[in-house]
Amino acid sequence: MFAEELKRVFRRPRNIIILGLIALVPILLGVVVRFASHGGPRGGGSAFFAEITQNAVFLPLAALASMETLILPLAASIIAGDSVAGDAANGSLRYLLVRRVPRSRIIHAKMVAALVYTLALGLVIAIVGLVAGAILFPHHQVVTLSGLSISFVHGVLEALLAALVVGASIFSVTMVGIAVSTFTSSSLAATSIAVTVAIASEVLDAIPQLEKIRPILLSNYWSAFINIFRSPILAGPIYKDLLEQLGWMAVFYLLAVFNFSQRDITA
Amino acid sequence: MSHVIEVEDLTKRFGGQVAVDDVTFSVDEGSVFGFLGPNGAGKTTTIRMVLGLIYPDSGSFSLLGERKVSRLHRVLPRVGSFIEGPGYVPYLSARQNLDRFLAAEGVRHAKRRPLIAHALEAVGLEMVVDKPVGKYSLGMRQRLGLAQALLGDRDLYILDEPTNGLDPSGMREVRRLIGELADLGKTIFISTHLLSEAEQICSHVAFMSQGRLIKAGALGELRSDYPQQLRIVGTPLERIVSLAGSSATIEKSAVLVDLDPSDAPRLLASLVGEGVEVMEFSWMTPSLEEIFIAEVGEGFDVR
Repeated sequence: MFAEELKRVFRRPRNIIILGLIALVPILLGVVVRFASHGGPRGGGSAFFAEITQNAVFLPLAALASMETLILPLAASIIAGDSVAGDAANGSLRYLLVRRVPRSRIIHAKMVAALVYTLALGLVIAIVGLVAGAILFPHHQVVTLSGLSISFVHGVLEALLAALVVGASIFSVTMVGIAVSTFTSSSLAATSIAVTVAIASEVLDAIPQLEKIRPILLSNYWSAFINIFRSPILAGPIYKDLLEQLGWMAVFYLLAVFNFSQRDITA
Repeated sequence: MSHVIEVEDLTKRFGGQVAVDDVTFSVDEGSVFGFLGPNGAGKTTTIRMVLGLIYPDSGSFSLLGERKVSRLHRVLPRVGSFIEGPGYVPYLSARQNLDRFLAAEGVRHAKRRPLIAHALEAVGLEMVVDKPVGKYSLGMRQRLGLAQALLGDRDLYILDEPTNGLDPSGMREVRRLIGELADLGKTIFISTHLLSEAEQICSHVAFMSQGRLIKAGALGELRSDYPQQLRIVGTPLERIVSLAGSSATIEKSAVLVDLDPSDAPRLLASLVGEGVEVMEFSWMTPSLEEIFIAEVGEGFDVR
């Protein structure tokens, strides 16, 4: 069931196109910075943007930072919103259930597939960004945000780790989408709600008067992955980010499992 | 004879609306059971409850002897089902869709291919197995849904409106398939609002209307509950009417008479004795549609 669900997600043309479009972002970003700007970007932009021309490793990181706030949550929401609602709408959910597939196995398989896809979003950006960066920019020793040098290979590994952390940071949005998806047969409705939750979190995060509730907002630690590029790695914010994601995931995991186990399948 | 499905006082409400109201019936092993009623009568909701898709508000049921919803997975591998239309992932091919269902069921990879080929051949889709189902016509999708129900060897087939969207030859093919399964001793539970279709294939029927079960039983027994009419064609018609008694009426160049079967030989003898030229002398059995209308009433989508 788990393998079948992964196949369903990764065989869907729309999902492949999303991965393809996301892969284009670091390429376009690299080309624009390499050829359309003179002397490289100066300040402004998202994290790592100013460092892109210095080393290939910074291209995927700048792409991750620029996409983490909207494009990645949107992509994750599309897949998560479709997870249960899509199968309910096309009717295949009822046929899985009458083939003695326990409801708990179906919902867990869908969760695993959506979370793997969410991680894949980050990894695709990292891998394509590293390749494009290596073609367009120098690829020698990397100077971290602490001013220390690390080897290029070490930098590549840290970029891949950053991609995994960014992917995991979006898990909460994915889980919100899956939970909502168990309530409806409309993938669009589930996707919209998950995206709205992500955007609302970011809006609330930006209001200074709401500082006290920031630690519980799902987007609060989204930029924590930057700390991977300190020497040594500043793990505290990353742990806080992952812990917060786990908290949000736990709530919506329970909601998804409970509702799916109780729900009448009328579609 | 054992019952493969037993439903007792089953009730389901959606919001304030009662969809299934205190329904009780049983399906004998080896029968072709027609679950009949107009659209919205509660047939599909009952089927979904029996298959564990919808939880009943009250009442109980057993499927192949299993009474607990939480343990239905023990008997579901013995059931092939088609529920309210096909279900498929549109961007996957017919083969990939069916493979997904068998894999989910735990059927080993080596066994899936022949099962899929056999099911697709049975419904005439063997030439388009690798085409994405989203590009299928309505009738082809319906056939794919039936192929899904036919995957593997099952003891019970639950088919909800299996001929919807099929052309006349497709409907005929489905009837043939059902006949073949019945000949193999399989039990078929078929829900339909097409009474003429049910009349051709069912040994037992149950009538549903507005969520309630109106009547159920063997088709022959239901027919015997109704007075049989004798149809006499001959000349002169007026002479036949006068000899046949007060219940005789003329309809479409024939005389219809309500008569006890034991009185028929005497009536025939008197007609011949009086010089009436008798060309046809036969019993008319009430059609399923006539019985349905008599039991449920008119005003529904009866065809």
